[in-house]
Amino acid sequence: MTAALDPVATHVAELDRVLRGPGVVKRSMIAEVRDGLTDAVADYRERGLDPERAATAAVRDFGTVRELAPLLQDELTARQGRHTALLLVVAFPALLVAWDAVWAVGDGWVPPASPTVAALARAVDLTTVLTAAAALVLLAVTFRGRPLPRWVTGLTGLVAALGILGCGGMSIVMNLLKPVQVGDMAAAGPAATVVVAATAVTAGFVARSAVRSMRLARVSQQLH
Amino acid sequence: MKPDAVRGHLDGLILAVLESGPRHGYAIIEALQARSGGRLDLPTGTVYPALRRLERAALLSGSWSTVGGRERRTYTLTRAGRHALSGQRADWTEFSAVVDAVLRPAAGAS
Repeated sequence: MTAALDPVATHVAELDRVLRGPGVVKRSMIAEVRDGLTDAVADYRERGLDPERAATAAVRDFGTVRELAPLLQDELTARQGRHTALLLVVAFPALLVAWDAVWAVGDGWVPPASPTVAALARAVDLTTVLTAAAALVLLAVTFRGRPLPRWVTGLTGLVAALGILGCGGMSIVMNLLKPVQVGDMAAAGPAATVVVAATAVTAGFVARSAVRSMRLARVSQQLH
Repeated sequence: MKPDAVRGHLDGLILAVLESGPRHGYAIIEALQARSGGRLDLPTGTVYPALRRLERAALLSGSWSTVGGRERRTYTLTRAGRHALSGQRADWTEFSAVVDAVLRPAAGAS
């Protein structure tokens, strides 16, 4: 039986084409489905069916792509939501602590900061804490045993996007206000350089995860 | 048994067949069919998303391992899963007793 005519290969390929989600989880899911169908084919062959009929029967028992793709996609979407929430719960407080440490060791600007900068710094801290707290609640929700409503993942993506835009935007404004800019801080000490680089990389990961979460929530909705 | 009737109880059924030990996906399907006497009329593929959901809820732990010379994803009931299974059994016993009491023909009914 050629791959093009193999009902199992065709079925698995169609699921693979339709599903979207975190690569590792999706590959594992597709491999598991393929294994299950292979086992079912072997089972039917032991009962006396020829390879083609066995494969057709296994696919028939398994269910159609239209039936199963929404269920599998919901889990992929939920995993993406959990990934985003976990990233926020870990990264935002870590960056808050790292920046506080930079200021404390004197690699930041020399106090006293202007009232505007001080207010922005407090607003960044507040946004960070609120984002992490919201993410913690959303992370806890992903542990419920029932199918996770797709809006949870969409909301997680939105929280991540707002968190990164809010903190990033205010940080850029703070940086534009004198007396000290990020470039000066980076030149002033290695700790600041490391934290600036870590912040930029983390912002990139969070932004990507936010976009993926919102996109997968839409994909789940379209499949239902 | 109709698929819609089974779906609402699929999680509990999967937890029950994993109570005796770890199994991979198709072995779980076989156990469900064997224990139901082949009366569970459900697309077998629906078991896989259910397994992922139960794993996400930390009621099962899943990992790839070599079984019978092949790489398989094997699932094990966690402590939380055993607790959830006990709860589902208690709920089902209460539910079935109530429904049975209502459905039973009343004394003197023709």
